[in-house]
Amino acid sequence: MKKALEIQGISKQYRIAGKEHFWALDNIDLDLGQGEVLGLIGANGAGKSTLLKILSRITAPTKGQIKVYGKMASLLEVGTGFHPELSGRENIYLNGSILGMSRASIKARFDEIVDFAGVSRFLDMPVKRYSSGMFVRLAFSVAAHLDSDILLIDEVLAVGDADFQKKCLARMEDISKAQARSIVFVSHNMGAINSLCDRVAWINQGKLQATGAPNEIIEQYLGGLEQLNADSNPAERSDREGDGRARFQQIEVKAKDGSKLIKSGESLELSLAWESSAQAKEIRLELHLFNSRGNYLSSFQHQLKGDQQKAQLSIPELPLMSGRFFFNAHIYLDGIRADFLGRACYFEVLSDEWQQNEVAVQRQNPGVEIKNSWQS
Amino acid sequence: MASQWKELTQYRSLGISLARRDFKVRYAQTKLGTLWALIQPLLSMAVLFLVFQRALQADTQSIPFLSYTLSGLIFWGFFNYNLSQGAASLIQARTMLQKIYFPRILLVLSKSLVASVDLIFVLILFVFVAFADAHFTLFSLGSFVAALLMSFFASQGLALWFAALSLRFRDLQQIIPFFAQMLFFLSPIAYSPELWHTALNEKFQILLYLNPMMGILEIWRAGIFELGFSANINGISVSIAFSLALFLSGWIYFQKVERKMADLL
Repeated sequence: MKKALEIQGISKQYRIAGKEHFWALDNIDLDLGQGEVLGLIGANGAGKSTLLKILSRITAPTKGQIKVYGKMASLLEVGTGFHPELSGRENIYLNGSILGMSRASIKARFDEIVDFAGVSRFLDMPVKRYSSGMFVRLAFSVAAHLDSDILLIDEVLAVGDADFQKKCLARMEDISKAQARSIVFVSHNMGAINSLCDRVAWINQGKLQATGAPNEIIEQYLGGLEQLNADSNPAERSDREGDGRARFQQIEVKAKDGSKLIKSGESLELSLAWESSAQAKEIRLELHLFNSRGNYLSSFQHQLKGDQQKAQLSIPELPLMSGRFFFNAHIYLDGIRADFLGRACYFEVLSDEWQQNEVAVQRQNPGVEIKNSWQS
Repeated sequence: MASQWKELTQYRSLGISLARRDFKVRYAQTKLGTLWALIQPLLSMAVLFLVFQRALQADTQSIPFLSYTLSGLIFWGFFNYNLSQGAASLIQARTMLQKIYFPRILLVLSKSLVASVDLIFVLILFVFVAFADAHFTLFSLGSFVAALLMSFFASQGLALWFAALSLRFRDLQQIIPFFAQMLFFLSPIAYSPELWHTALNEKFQILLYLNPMMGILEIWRAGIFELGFSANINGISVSIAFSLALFLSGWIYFQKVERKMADLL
């Protein structure tokens, strides 16, 4: 495959207060093929955005170099450079030229841009009177019609309504597949990354942790998060409660096929294992489900004989929205609590229809999907 | 320098778009709109007339006060807009600088396009006011072009320096209005530069010409009013050389810090 972009040994150092230095990026080597969609994932502050800023030439790297084959355009935040007093029409020209298009090429694509955004009736109205949805649609539309060979996109899909989201995804797919243009795409939305990217690079604390197929890297990344949030081994955690007659040894969430990619509406398997140092007639397991914000969602209970040492919880059609969740786990021996682990197990739910419930996504407080229908 | 030039020509649409934005936004939602481009110099003229003509009876080289002063305001307006708007342009566009790449220098340079539109308004006003006193000849056209180029180089040079330095030293943003006001009084807009001859020792006079407006106004008035060069050629040469030096050094310094700008904001 022909290369569109080569990143060679890029490092970026920032100075924080006085003489202290901090490497935001440390020796990143990465390249991008023509027509390829590369996803960048990593925790907040891992360096993804810094890398995009260097690629788009907003800031210079401390070390290393970048080779670009073709014209590059960045879409680091839609609507930057829009002026509220100017009309939609004027803003299309202004924004287009800020993004590097000539007036002639904006003119040639003008109708396409307006159609895509669906704002033709409001073209001569100042954008300050636009609804936020219209504003975002127009802004994305200008950027989506850039005549660049490489497009850098940072979290733009977190905006707009569900229909427009789908349009944007389709547009991005079209840009990469039909027009053989390359995209570097940064997002925290694993669903979007998974369905859109050909390859994923995971950046961790300024270093390139891994690159590869989206499935694999996302799984590794989520696995890493799990380790970060809870000790890898529940047996070794010291922040536990209960009288200690039993100790959880393993608490693990998987999909039915054994992978860590858990999808909304599909199955979830939670396996529990424990060791007990005392005889008991009866064991009771209690699990509480919370979302990443710590809001309670549901509980699960199971009673079993005292000599058992493991159990498995199956949820056939997981009714959760996309987002992060965790379980708290309790074990009772003969009615008295023997062990408790808070945030015992984190997992991330992906959704193919990850923007279906737009209102819910905006709250960033994932809850449950409830089947419903409306009559009116 | 060659590759920069190529890039600037690629982005020339942006320069024009930025200027259009500034122009449209400036008088957006005002009742009088573009008329303000005429009202402002007229109001300045009224005040200057009271102070310099009525109160101080300043010499205007035998040219009627209104024509003389308006001839000065044409270039002062251009110079001042470039200087103050250009110097603040980077800080004003800070979100853009952090989000998108484009040649940053266009933010400063594009102010000249807006300033030129204002200049044309005042120039038209001048043609009406000074119809009897001015000499519209080829020579005066030449002096106009020379004065315009000098104003461009000098004001843009200062603006580039201020804009680039003020990212590191925000205090400069406080100094700019004061600096512009100082230049206004030091420039022979509503009084004759000859006043300085009697007021100052010859050694210091040459220093006055470090203010580019001295040279600009003398060149322009020499043409339009057929005054001849009242001062020495030396002074004017200092003005010209200093204007060019400001522009060149400002450009070079600006390019040097351009890639660090997003980190400084």
